[in-house]
Amino acid sequence: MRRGKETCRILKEIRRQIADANDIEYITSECRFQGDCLGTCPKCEAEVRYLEQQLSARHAAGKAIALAGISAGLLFSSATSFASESQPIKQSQSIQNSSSDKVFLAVGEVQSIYDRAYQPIYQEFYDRFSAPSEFHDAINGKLIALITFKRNGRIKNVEITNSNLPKAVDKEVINTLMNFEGIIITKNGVPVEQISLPISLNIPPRLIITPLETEENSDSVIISGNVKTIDNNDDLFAATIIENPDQKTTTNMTETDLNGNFTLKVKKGSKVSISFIGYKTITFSVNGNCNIQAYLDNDFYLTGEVIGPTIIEL
Amino acid sequence: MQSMNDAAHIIGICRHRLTTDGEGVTTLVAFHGCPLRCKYCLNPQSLTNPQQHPTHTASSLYEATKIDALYFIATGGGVTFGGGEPCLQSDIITQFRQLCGKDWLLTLETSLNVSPQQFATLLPIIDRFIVDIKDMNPTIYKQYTDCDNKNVIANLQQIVEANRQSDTIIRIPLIPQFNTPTHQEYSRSLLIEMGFEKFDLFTYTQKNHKTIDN
Repeated sequence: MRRGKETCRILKEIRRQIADANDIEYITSECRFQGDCLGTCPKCEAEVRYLEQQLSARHAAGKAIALAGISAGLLFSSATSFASESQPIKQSQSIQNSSSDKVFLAVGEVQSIYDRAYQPIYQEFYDRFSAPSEFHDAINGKLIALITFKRNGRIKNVEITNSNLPKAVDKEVINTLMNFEGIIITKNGVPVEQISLPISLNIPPRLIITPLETEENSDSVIISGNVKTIDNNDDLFAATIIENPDQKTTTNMTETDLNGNFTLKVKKGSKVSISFIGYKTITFSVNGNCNIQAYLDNDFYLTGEVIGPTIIEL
Repeated sequence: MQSMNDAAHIIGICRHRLTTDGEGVTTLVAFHGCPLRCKYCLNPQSLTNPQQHPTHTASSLYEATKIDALYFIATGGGVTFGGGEPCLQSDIITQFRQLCGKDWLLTLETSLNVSPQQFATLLPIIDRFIVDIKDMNPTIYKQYTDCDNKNVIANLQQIVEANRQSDTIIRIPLIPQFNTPTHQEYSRSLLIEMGFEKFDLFTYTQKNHKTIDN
């Protein structure tokens, strides 16, 4: 089942890259299907047919189509010894700075999103990244992170360009990258000082609030709902739900039961937080009776796990 | 004489293979029929009654595989012909190439144990060869497959003469009870002398195979 899910994920990314390279609007959603998966389904097949129609229309209108070689690098991350003998279809070009021995990779250069060389960076980024605490909606979009390195591999600076994401998400991407233990990238033995890293984000919503009927004159409201983990959709037992978490003397709180469910009566207009050790806290305001579905995300930094620098030879 | 109505028995069509057959997204088309009788045959259904398996012409195979054409062209993938022994269906594969055009990567997973005349028709239309050589020692080869390897050597020579060694990956198995790592290395050294560069040395694990005597 896991292999099918992985195949589906890779094929979906290929479709996304085809759409991006050809300015085709491509809206898809995270697959929540829990059963056995062959790597494709009627929905995925329909997306392929849609892309084919769009490409055909572009061709008929006399527009250029970018198709060959745009996604091959995606598959090199799990390459066997066969592919290791092959040349990547798109290779990053380096620009030698004649005044020093530093090497820069051209900013904004077209690179396959899952270029083999950068796979360790992407893996660590996607493991670490989670949506900003105050941001509960789905996150779908992309940006380019221009990363400048120090000599010791630590990231000196991250600048975001070409982003169609909210500023809060851009900021979180910067925070995530700046907290890397270190990346040392060399090309022909010479340290690379800067790379541009295309990043695509497709994160489901972390909080879904469904308003329920509420008496207008009531001072108190009832919130009830369920808390799950975002990575594997498991019910989260003993997550804490607190009213006005910023107040040091807060006493109104409850915990989720074995099924991840809870109910809490709070004052109208209160702030409520849902938290669990090792996970990022979600905070939101409540103005009426409502049903809550929350998905908590891993908070990487609380684990205390120490990881050495990632070393990449281009 | 070739006809687009020529049909072959197919034991399976497997979509969305990732990096198994080299670059890109590939579809495996496995043909029925093989001249070898390997003791640890990976696909023994290729030797059973052919009537159990559906037939396909080149046209119907193309219709069945073109559903993934977008992935093939985008990722440099295509169709891998295996089986069984795909070289036995050289006519159908040649017709398939005429239908799919030049943009699809066509790969052959083969033992090369077919007549040199038959293999010669495939050389110009196949992009990549994955050859399971078993063992270059003719005695070991005969013991394991019940066939001699003269055609294999001749077809390897055709690949060399066509200067296609860089398009060829040679798989050299360690076959329990038939050869040893020393034999594997000896096979590799012979092939290196012929100009081959890409090898996959691996081990047959008995629990994953049924002998064709069972």
